[in-house]
Amino acid sequence: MSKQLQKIISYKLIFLLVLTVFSCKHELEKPNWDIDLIIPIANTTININSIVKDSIITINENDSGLISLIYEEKIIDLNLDSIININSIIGEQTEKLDSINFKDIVIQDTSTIGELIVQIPFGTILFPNGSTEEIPALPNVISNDTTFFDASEYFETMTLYDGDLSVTITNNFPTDISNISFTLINQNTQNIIASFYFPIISSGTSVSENVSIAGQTIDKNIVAILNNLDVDQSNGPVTINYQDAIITQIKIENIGITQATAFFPDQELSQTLTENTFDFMGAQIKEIGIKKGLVIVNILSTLADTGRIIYNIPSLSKNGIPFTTENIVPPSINGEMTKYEFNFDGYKLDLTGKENRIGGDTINTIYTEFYTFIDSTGELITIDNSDSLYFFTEFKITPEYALGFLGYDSLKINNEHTVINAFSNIMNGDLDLKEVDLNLSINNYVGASAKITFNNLSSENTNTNTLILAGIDQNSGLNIINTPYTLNNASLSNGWLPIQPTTTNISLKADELLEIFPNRINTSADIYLNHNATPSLNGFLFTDFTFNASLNIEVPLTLIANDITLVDTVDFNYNESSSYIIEKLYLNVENGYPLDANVRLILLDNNDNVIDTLFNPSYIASAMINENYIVYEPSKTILESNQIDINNINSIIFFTEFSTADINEFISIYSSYSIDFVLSAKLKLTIGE
Amino acid sequence: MKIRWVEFIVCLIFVQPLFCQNNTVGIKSEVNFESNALNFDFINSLLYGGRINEETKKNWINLCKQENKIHTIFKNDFFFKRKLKNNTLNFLISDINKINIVFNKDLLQLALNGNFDYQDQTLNFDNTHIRAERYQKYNLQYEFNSKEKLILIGLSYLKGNHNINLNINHGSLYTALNGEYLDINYDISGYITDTSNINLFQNNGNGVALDFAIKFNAGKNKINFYINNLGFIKWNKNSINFAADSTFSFIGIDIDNIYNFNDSIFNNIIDDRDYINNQTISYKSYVSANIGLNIKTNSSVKKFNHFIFGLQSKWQPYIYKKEKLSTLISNGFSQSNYKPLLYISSEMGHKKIKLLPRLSYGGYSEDLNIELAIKIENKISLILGTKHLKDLNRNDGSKSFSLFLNIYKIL
Repeated sequence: MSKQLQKIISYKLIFLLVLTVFSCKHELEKPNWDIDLIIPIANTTININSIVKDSIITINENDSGLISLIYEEKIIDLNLDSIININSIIGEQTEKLDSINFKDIVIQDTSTIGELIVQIPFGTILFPNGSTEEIPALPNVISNDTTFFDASEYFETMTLYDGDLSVTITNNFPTDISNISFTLINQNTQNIIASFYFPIISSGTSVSENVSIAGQTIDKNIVAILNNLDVDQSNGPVTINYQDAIITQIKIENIGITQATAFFPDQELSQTLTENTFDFMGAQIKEIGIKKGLVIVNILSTLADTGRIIYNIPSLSKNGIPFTTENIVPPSINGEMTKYEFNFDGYKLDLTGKENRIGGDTINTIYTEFYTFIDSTGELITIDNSDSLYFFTEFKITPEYALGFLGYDSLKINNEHTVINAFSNIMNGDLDLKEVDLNLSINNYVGASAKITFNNLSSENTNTNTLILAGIDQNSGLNIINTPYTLNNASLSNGWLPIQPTTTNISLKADELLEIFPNRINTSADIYLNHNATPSLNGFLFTDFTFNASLNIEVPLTLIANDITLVDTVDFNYNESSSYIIEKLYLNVENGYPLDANVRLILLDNNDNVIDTLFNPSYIASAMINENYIVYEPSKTILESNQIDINNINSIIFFTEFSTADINEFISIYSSYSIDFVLSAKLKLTIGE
Repeated sequence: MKIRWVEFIVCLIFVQPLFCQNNTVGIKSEVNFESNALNFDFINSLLYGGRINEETKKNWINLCKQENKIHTIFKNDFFFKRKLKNNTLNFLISDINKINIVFNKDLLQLALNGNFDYQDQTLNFDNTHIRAERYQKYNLQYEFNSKEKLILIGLSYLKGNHNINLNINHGSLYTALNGEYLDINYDISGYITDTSNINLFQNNGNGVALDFAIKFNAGKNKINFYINNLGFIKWNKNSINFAADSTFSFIGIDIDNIYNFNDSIFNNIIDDRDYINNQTISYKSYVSANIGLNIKTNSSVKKFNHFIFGLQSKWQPYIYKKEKLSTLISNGFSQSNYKPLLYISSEMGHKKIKLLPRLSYGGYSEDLNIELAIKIENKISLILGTKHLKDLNRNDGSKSFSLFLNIYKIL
């Protein structure tokens, strides 16, 4: 082989290699394919326990396993709160300013002999201080002399409906004075308040005079005009002491204020200690336990200053501590009341009146103490005798219990409807129950006897307008309707809980009441509290425990069922899956009940249009029964769905018709019976997408 | 900057001698797909896929044996040989990608068809193993040459990138009629390296491998025994170990109320993966070692330069665990899924252009294979060939496909 040929072959091979590697390049792509799976989705075993689970029906099972359904429903549960509810206003009262106190006003002026001598020409030379001189008679030694009295530390101005003004002059001069005449006037208005005349005041003595100033208005600045004062000749030489003085004291007392702008002192305005009685419409209550309690103290103050209250209710206590409160009352704005709310949940209200009251304990009565005050603020305040504190107290009490006589009362239960849901899913069909016992138990938890008369007790199917009245009481042989039953009073254990109730039983045959598949029970009755009873304070009422009546229905499951149709609708929210499609559903049923059934699942879309019906035809055979109508072998059925568009399903109606295996003989249902369901699905999955 | 020390040393040792005489430098590439049952169409569909229709599934299932093996390798080498008087220093850098799968027919049927068609039947998935690995190998070998014999020893550093090791030791599924219940039994365990970074050259593990070979003359014949690539990679602690071992009968979700029937029930079943125990853990995996023996003898047949008769096996246990050495050795051969390969090869042709034929039986394909390569020796020499000549013209029906290329230059 020539070198050239070798070269050509080499290059061709390299070219082919490059071509091979690069020419057939293919894009990578994820493969995908479909697979068909069949998998069990869900399973359930339904026996009588699972059927009645979460319902108010309970199961009783006898020795042979025969099931009885026990259905209990309360048809009467009386609320007696209204007998002893307190919703009252007590202690309405107004405290006016006319009762306000104002302390006595005392103002004083002192005129010394030195001041007088200074005014006499050459007085200090003639009568030097400390000398012993004979004082001559000095008539008119003072005339029209003015002295100012300042009462601003007490008030600005006062108009009085009552008050006394007294003047006391003490003569400490060494000689008598006489013909003393002076007048008190208001500086601002120049109105004369009072005038006084004293003929003589001996040396070292005092004289007083008192005048009424009722109806006058007094300013803080009072001017005393000394119209005249004579100095009598001394009895021989006397020691001249310039400090000896005539002291004039003005005192305003017994002040009754019509209106004043003054510095008012702290003071109690009122004190109201009262017993208040509640009206319980004939009930005689000695104690109430409060479940929910609200007491609202309403106060309206027209005072310009803040007021204050102290409110004590010794009758109201919690853990032995009586209620007391102290609150500031601001001046009212635009006539609005100030409210103070107090929560009395859990308190005890003693209704026997004031402790150690005269005449002994009473009933329905509380004792309260209400004090009102004004507090000094150190400011000038203008008040008027028409100012007042108006107050009242609201009691809103829902009791937990009451002790005492509950009174005579009649209570009406007026056509009460008790809804029965046990048969709500049954659309139609015939049911024959072999035996049903209904026991009506009426429990009295109240410390008072009563009489009850049923005017109506019936079961009703409002869909079929069928109504069956309760019949004969198996205990008395009388029809339950219009027969009075006595409910004896309950008692307490050692005066307190627990309650020992009394029970009155009424026994009825009720198969007909139930065979109409009732959806409600109708009850009408009259209850007479303390009917013909003698009042006794040993009665009681705990509001959570009053009168109740319960139906107890026992249904042994021995029955004949013919095309009983159960219907139930459930929502179905299916999120469409891109990874799988449900192609078929299989329902594997192993029926251990002696009941034939037809099951249909009707699929509805968002607009409740029927999309499809699953498992149609869908007959599930009864289990095999022997000559005693007892199951000896379950039957097996497989229901297969059509292909369904599951994505549009919004809800499913479960439609089940069943009949007993023999519709001419009663068949019993035993606890060992069950029915097993396994739901499986054929799914198409796309792998790789 | 991180110093890539292996490359650094390689440069120091080899770049300078490139310009010396009697050294060889070259590259090798090999792509190989082998199966004992499934054909190339299967892999082609998985890779380039698109829609797999019912007919394709049927064909694949028909092709299946009870135990099916698939082996693929894509390997690229750079090598350098340096003559040191009588001895030789070899250096090799390889980038290796391998997938090795063993599964039975039932698993393929379940995977392709689902269980609907197998009601009232038990599908068995015992001994299903999936191995995939990618790593680089930095190999240094030294050949001691003498007239009578040649001894080779080598050491490799293995830079592990990614590894998957899934083993279904026991597994079965019984589907009752109408799907009333499923009896499920499985014992699955596996390891997978950190999936948070799937960079091709991500370093998720490090390992070592040893090479040993001896050639000696036996009369006119030369006998060669070799073990190469005997080693393991220790994958880092970010790897995931999962295990599930359970036997149960599944009859759907228990519901108290038959009216509680909505899509959550379906979703709970489809998405229920709670039974798998996961943990992150460091683990070791063996790399596939080659162990072989061949005899080279001169040819008395015209045009055939010589003949080589050989036996080659592979050793690779599924998982690294402490066990008896004898058990480990035994498991390594059987778990390599490689049937000992018997072969005869030769060389024929001109001085510059030669054909390299080989006839073999066994290996991953467990079949008779004709290998043929052409060797052109020039300034730049080239060997181009396939290990499965007879499958070249069967297109997608081929159970095997391979191509290898070796370009080298003697300096």
